[in-house]
Amino acid sequence: MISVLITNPKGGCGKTTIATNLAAAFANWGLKTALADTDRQRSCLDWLASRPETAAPIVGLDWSKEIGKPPKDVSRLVIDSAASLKMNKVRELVRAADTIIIPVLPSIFDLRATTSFLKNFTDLKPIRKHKKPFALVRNRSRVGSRAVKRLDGFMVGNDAVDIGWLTERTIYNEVAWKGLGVFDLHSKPAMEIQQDWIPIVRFIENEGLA
Amino acid sequence: MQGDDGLTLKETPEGGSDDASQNANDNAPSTSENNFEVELKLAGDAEVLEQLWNSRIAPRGKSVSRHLISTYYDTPDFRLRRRGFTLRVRQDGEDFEQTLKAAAGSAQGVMRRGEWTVRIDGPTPNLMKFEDQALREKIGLVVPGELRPLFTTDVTRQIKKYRLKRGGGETAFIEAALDKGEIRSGGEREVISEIELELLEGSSVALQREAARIHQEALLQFQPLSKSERGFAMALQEPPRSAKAPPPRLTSETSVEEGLERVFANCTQHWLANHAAVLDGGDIEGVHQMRVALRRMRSALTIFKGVLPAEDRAWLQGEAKSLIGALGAARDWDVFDDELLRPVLQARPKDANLKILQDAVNEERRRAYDHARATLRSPAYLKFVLELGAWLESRGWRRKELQASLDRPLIALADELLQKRHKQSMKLGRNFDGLSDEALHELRISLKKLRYATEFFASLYGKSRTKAYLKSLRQLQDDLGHLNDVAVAETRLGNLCGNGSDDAGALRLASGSVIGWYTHALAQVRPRIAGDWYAFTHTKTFWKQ
Repeated sequence: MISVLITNPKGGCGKTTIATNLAAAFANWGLKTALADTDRQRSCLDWLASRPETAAPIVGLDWSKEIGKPPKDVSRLVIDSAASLKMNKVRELVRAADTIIIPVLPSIFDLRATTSFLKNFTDLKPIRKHKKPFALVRNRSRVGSRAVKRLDGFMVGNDAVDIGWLTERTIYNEVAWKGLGVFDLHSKPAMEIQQDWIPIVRFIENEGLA
Repeated sequence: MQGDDGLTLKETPEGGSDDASQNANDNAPSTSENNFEVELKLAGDAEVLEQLWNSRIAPRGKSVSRHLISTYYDTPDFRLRRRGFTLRVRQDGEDFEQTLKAAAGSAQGVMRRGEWTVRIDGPTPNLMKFEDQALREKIGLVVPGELRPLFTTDVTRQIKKYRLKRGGGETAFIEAALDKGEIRSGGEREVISEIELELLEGSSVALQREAARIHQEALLQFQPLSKSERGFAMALQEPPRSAKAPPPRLTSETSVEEGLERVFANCTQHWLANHAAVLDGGDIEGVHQMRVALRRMRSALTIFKGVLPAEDRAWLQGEAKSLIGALGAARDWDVFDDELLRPVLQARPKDANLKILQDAVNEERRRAYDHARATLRSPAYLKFVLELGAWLESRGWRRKELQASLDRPLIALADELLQKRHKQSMKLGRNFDGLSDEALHELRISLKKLRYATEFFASLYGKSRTKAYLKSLRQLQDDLGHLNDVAVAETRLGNLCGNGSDDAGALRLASGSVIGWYTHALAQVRPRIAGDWYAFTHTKTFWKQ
């Protein structure tokens, strides 16, 4: 099994979008996939509840009260962490994960919040000792925009793997209403959007098995 | 699934290739599992192959010809390969099919692999077409569009299928293919010219025998690499590497015969895994490891002396010995250049005589490698590979009068043997400080045999019980090995200086400085070696006495 934690205490940086789309990607490839929700707002679990029966199955896990154990036969576990999580909680989630993905938005408030989070996060033992690889992904980016350039500067000088960016697209929001992700769609435009996810998938699949 | 075009396509049953079953296959006496391809390849000059094809391979059989273009794909980060898969799209006329192969190591020169094939609509691979759940788990997530072409094999293939019948012996249904063409990667090309025998049905002994029959005295070479392995080597610019042997897996339940089978299969794999590296010559450990593998095999012949027929032992002993000998000069010059000459050259960079010596050594080494390569490409080498394969597959050692000894538990034999070898080494090492060079040499050989035996049998006793003993033994053997390297170098240099070259004077001076250098160094390490010897004599043994 490979488990991936999506975390950043800053709200609205796209953790749930990344978590649900990743889970859908694994599930569509036929891997037994579980999605663990640590948020009391149950965003992931609600998304799962609205997921059509015909879509590739994903097992939902409610980790809002405590961190549980995934079912034995699961081969990919995606953990969505709640916003404004305390560091000791993050530490527990890091323990349960093989790889960690931190989404960042190209806004000054997000950059500041993420900088202060990273300071504590990189102090966690498994991170400090390079036991658990973590990666930063620029979320909702427009290539070439000034905000993204500022973000590029931010990416330099820390131990995080740079796994590129996810372009802002309305489709994520549209399909989320139906309990779907872009990997549930097989149209030409959807397949093109899936290409955005290659660096993230590559990071998880390589580091998770290393 | 059997294609009506004469190609054999196979589907692996659900979950049929999990790790456990593959590991079991490595060790199990091989029968032809229906989900694993058993095939054997003979490479040679195109004209020779053509002639064999017409005269020796089902000469009256119908030959079907196909032009096959295969392109191999992977993600840019080579995830498929890292997970042990190769993916190819094969174009056959208007039809496209994609095949995923799982590497499962090669045993006795025979490749066994899991293989999955499906038809696709065009030249672009589509992994979603593989519906097997267990297979997808192993591949991991690959985003559509992530795959890139790495290299293409372009082959004209002729195929004949025929049945082998032997009076009272093994029968088999064989597909023979004659392949001519090339591998293209980037701007580079390599020639393909080989005959491939695939077992469709029946026993792999028969396949080995058939290969031996076709081979006979024709100039064929053993080709352990598949076309895709060769293509990958080109695409990744990765020269072949040397390989060490994983220890054979044995348990307290293992019988002498099972032990014998696993140990010999293990030595054979170890040997053949270094074939490509020796031919390439880039990794000097290739020659070293191939010699180690063959030495281990000779050591195993002595270990299993009591249960092996004398004629089999003599045959294997002779073949292994002659191969070890053929690689000897290459190894000696490698060691001399890499471990002995280099440090002296670094200390005396302006010594012109040393440079002359280095040039002479490089020349000797080149000749030695040419000889090693010629040996590996010789018909006799392939004959030994094939015969050894058949011997292992058919359990050629079996004799009625020896069966009772073969059925004994292996651990009893291991206990006796380790005790005997340990005692022998102890005896040879008595009064260690006063031992002559000859006596030390004898002790080194004895310790080496003890080490191989200990490594073969380690899994019978468990890692924790054998660890300290092996560590101490290896340390001692490394020390003594260094003494031996210097002695060997002295002999080789003696021959080099005595061969009447114009530079004989310079060579003598340079050789003298190298040997002098180490003679002095050795005098200083002698006490340390003595220390390691006493440490070894006090290491706890782990077998039942």
